[in-house]
Amino acid sequence: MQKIRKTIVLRLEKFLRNKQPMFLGKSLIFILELIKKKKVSTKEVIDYFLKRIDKYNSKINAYLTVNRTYNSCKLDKIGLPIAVKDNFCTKGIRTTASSKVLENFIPPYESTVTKRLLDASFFILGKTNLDAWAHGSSTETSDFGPTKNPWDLSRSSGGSSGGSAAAVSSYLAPATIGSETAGSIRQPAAWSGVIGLKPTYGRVSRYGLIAMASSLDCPGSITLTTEDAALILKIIAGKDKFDATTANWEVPDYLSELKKRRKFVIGVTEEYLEGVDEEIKEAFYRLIEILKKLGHQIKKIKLLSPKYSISVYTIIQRTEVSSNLARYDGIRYGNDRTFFGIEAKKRIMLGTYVLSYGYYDAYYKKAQKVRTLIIEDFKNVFKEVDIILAPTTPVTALKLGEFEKYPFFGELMDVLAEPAAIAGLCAISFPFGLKKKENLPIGLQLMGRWFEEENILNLTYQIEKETDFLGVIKKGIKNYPD
Amino acid sequence: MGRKKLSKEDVLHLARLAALTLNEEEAVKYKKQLEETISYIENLNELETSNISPTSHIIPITNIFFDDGEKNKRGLSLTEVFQNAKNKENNCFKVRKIFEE
Amino acid sequence: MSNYQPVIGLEIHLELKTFSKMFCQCAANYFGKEPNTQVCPVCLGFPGALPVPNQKAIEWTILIGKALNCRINSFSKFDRKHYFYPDLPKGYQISQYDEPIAENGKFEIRNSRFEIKKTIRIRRVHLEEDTGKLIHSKNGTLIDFNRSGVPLVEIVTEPDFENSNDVKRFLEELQVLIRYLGVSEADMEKGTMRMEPNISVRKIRITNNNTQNNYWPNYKVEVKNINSFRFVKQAIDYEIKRQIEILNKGKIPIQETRGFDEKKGITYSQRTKEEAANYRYFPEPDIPPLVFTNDYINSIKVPELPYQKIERYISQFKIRFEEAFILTRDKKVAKYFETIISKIRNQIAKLHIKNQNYKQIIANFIVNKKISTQLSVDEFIDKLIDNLKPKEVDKELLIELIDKVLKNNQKTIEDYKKGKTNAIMFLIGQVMKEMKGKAEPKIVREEIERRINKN
Repeated sequence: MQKIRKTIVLRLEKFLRNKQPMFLGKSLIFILELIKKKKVSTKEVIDYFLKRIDKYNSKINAYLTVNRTYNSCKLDKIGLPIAVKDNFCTKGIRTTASSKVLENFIPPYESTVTKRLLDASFFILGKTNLDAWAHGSSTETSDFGPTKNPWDLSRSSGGSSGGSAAAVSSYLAPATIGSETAGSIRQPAAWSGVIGLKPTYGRVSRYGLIAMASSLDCPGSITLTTEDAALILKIIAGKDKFDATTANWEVPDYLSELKKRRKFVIGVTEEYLEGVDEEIKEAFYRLIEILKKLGHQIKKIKLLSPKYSISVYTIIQRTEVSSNLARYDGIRYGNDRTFFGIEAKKRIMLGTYVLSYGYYDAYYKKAQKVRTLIIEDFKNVFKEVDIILAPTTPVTALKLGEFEKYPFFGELMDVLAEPAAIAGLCAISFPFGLKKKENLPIGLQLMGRWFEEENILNLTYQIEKETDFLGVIKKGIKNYPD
Repeated sequence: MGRKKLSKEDVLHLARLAALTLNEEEAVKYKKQLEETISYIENLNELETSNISPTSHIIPITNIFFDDGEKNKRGLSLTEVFQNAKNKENNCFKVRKIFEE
Repeated sequence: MSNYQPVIGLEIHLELKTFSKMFCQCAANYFGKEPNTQVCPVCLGFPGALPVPNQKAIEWTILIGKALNCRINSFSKFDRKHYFYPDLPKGYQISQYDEPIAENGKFEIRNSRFEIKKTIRIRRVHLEEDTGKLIHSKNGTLIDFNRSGVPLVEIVTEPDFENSNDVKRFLEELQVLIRYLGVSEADMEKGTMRMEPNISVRKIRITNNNTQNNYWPNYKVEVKNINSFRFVKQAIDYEIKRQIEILNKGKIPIQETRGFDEKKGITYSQRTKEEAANYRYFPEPDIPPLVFTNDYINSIKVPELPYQKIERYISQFKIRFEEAFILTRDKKVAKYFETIISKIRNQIAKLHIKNQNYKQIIANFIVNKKISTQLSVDEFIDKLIDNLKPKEVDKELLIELIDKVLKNNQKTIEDYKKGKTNAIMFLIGQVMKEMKGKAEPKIVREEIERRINKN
């Protein structure tokens, strides 16, 4: 009798547990605590997310590949699930860069970022959608369909890390890894209402990241909380002997740095408000007031107009991309070059043009010189301020299909992100309010000095604690109940 | 600037250099878009840079090497080498016959 | 009246014998290995793979540059050189374009007296990676990437050569030099040394008042697939002849790359030479630049080079040029020789050579292979001492054999008596043969003379 009763109670508890969203919308750190306290097992957590993916992914198309091998892998350590943008080589898990060229490519090796996560006992839930080869700002150039914005399925989630941002925004993963060349983490994070961190160039290894623009690409994270961003950065940052462009810079304990009570001098500039949507500007000014209240100093600065960054970025990116895509000939892996999509072909040709006879000095070298100007500009400004605050994007999420109207679509959407990317600075985007009528997230960003991620993380944490990002993240997840 | 505008032949030539296939129709379509992009990026000429040195590496690192003879941790087995190859023969990758000599 | 003068430059590639490849830790020595067993994501050009340079390869490139009297640049970098070919996995080769490691050197060609005949200017020495290997099969082409990524040093000369003999001499001397440095096997047959001459011919017009008008050619023909020094001369001579024939017709030879057919001894057309710009060079973004301090450059020591050794052997050891040249062809042999010289110093008395130059004698023994160089130095010295001991002659046996030889060679004796003094050499030789070398030629000669004159 006792035994039967016990069984019923246990079954009931389990039933109730499955019914309640025990950790819907909860951060990695929160889940980690639960697992440590044995309130839930790693397997249960992973099953939870797989269930949600099965429920919502067909609508959103955030995931291209879902990893269901948990049962067959011996992970009895404390493991946290994470999804990874599909341009990171994950050994044994299909990696496509969202292109038909790599439709069936199974990497025989692990990227450094995913290796470090795996060594820290993370479990890779799956690979998320992106603009093919990371070329784009809407995920619409993916060869496997666009990723819809969880806030409004008729709109883009942004790009190129659209899948990563949408997955976190609709809680199909508690956190994801993305990559940014010029806005590819920050912009989709802004449009999808989550936090996107782009570390300093050279902070995180690119070994295993399918190269787009070698001198610009930065692996980074998309998360629901600042703590999670700090946690992930600590794991993935640091010199890698397989990537000669990683810096031998010490990796601070970002989590403990978060909690310090620090005051910053924050720069704001008119150049980054040109052409920006009114409500985004309002959010920006509102935050300034809050920052003043928190004791930070706001300082007006002057920066080079971001429009030059568009040209610099276009030239450098197209050049490096046309070169980095030269290896796809279908001989050793993948399909041949006839499988390239339109956007990729255009970028390759422009890159080829820029490097051709007679044009090197006029375009590529010129772009590198202007790059120096942009870097010097930031160096000067950072003598006066610690952090620069600006809107992340000029507009909120656009409707799917609009990108075709603009020849420079990506570059225009990323105009506020490009300067920091070209200079290699660290930057973070976080949600701050909604555009009322359309009910779309507004994103603001902080740009910090090279290798001073702890500053922008610290300030973001303060903002999070003070405002909860005006409730944006919680609101977004409410649309995606278990 | 006196730059010659892109012609359809130029576009087809670029495609050939980049080992891409383009038909005539695509060449005409892309010509317009490429031309637009090239015109835009010329705004860099508004900036004076004659005394500026170009940046090819953002972070000022130099002399990054590895030691000759270091243990190889990345060697691939034959299975791994060929798991994604469409054509192979005698543990070599295979392509259509190339006539050189 | 017109004369023609060949204008020849060389491009030489050397595979370095480092343990690891240029940009990854795969083994660099691929000879005889099963295909595609020494590869990794980097040298296979997999998505996401990145290059990191091999320090030793860079050091050895500086060493080669210094040995060729080049200026070592304090700032250098790698560049990407783009072209599509199945053996080039990334679609570009990591090489060096406008800032190579070493530039502006020289190398001297010497004549048979080892005097400087001509100075060849070295334009540059740079570092790059090798490609995979193509193997032709029945119905396709197979690719082995074991060789992909092996470090390759490229040496480019100015077009200072005027004939194929000089080219051959240059290559032979360069090979000795490179082997001395210990950086490459430099073997043409194995492919660890490759070369491509570029050849043009210019008209030298001598006018009526004997002034020369030189017209520099505005074309050049590159010849590939020459696999030995012997064929180099043949290929160049053929090509010069071919070009002169065209020029005589009033035409200009096409600028192109030609192959060399060993069997027929001719060059044949392959493809038109690509302009440098089509390679779309730009600085390699994955590899930070190279900065060489003076201290670092000075720390890379060039060992005593072959021509320096020859000079030292002649001036210090006072041995003849002929032996000095042969001894210095192989660094190991030279070292062996020098070790013997230094070790034998306190045993000279045992050599019984009076006023003769013992160093010359030792040189002779080695060069003429009278004692094997496979022996240890001490063993060699012992054998040498033994060899130079005055031989104890069995006088009786000697007389017996002399009489025997004299008896059988009456005609030779008559020739000798008639005044053909050299005839005695034959007789000495015969006696030495009978004595199985165990006699002093001088003593044999004396005895023969005595017996002849007696009769």
